[in-house]
Amino acid sequence: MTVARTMDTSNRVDAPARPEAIAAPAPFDWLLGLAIVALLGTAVRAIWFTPIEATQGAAQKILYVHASSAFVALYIAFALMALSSGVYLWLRDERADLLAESAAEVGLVFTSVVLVTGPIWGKEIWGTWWTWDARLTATLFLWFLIIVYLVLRSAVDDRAMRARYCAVLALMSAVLVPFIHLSVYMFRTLHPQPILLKPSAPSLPNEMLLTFLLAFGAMSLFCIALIRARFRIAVAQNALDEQDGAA
Amino acid sequence: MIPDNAGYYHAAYAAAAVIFGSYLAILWRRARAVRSRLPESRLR
Repeated sequence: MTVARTMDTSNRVDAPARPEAIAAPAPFDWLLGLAIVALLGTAVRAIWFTPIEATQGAAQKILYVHASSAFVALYIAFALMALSSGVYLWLRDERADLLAESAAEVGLVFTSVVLVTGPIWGKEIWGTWWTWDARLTATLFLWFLIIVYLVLRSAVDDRAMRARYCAVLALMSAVLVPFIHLSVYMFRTLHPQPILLKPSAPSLPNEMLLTFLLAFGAMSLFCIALIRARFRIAVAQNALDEQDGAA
Repeated sequence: MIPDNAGYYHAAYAAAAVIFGSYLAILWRRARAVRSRLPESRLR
């Protein structure tokens, strides 16, 4: 006679669940190393092997770090932040929220470089550190919005609520990106017109253009490497917090 | 005559290096803190 086994496990003492393995951030990140080498190489070319512009002098070389940082912040970091935030709102996947956070933080670093190097160039070329023109003001406003985004992340304890609020704020902040790009066409502004991202041919001699493109490439690689490194830390931290909370 | 204003771009490059270098140091410290919280058995 066979006795049917019941599935009643109410009195069973469960063995402690084995914690899931967590990918720790590596002590050496090869992509970040490669990006730093590329950046240093580009800086060497910009400083010693690129001609000095006749009217602006050596101060024109600020362009290679300023414009490339702006491009990377707006079209890589903040674009990825907005895309990931949209993906989070759609799929509710926590990894998308962590990627948006990583991209926002790295974008803030690049925007800080833009807001520091721009006025140094402006002081020499315009004769003033700052002017409240549309592009400068909108960029500063975006910088503040990203700070608000990051402060909001640490102010809300509930993870789902934090991710949802931050995703909405990130999408609203990203609306400023095309506005910043078009502001030099829409308003009378002191800020120069785009050199590269415009319908007509780039307005730089070939040697300077090559340095400019190399700076764009190195900065893009650096930005992607930083976002990747920051995302890995965020994922590991999140998994640790989750396991510590469940224990 | 080309203006002599190399000091401005030196300052800008130095400022950018300080900002990027500081962020790299912050990331390195965070990664080290995460690694120290992970016992060997939970590393992948």
